[in-house]
Amino acid sequence: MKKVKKTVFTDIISALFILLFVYTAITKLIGHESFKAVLSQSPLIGIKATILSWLLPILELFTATLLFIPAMRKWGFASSLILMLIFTGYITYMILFARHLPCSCGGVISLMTWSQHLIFNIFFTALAAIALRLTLRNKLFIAINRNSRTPV
Amino acid sequence: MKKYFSGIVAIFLAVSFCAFTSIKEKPELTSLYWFQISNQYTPGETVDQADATFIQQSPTAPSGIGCTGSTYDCVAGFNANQVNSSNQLKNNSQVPILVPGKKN
Repeated sequence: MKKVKKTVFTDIISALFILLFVYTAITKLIGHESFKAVLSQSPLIGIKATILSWLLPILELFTATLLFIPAMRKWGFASSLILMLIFTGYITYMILFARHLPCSCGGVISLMTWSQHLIFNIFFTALAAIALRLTLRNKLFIAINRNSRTPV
Repeated sequence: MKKYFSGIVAIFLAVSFCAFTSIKEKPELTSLYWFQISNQYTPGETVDQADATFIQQSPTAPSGIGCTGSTYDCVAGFNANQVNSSNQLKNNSQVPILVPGKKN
């Protein structure tokens, strides 16, 4: 893939993640009481629901900010990948042990079934991994080019 | 400015979508009967009536007392059909629906 194409591709992925994280964070903050109540019924979270109900949207907004700033995008993709892996692990646990409970997700995503949500998350986890790899490769490409420049 | 274009569009779309999303402030959750559990029970075990002290009935788990560990039941939630009219467990063979608080 040419460098320009790669840049456009990572731009699109970062925009998708910004859209996802800003949307879910805002809906979690607007419906905070509801979000906290759903979290508190989760067997994995329980009494830590209050802290997590604030921490999760803050982390999502922080990740979106990292993705928004081109110089910090690499860290944004790394943070997105970590968040998506945690969410995917949580969903897998819920599918296996607490399928009857509602999803503690933001906005229209909460309308998905657990299985649909798992597929959605795996897709976004893969996107984050690809984008991170491409971003790291681009950096390496620039670094190699800079080092190979010979003074005139 | 061009570098930020896609990000700005994404934020604009996210905020717009939020405006069209109906958010339920009241969760549609089952209200459980929460008990403080004394003695040592692991999740999935039946709890003796004498070892469960009623805390409250709510959809949200209370914090309980001394629930800072990870092994034994500390705060446990039960369904209405597992509790009698005096807010005690019906008998000694009730298994908690949820155990959000644990102790060591």
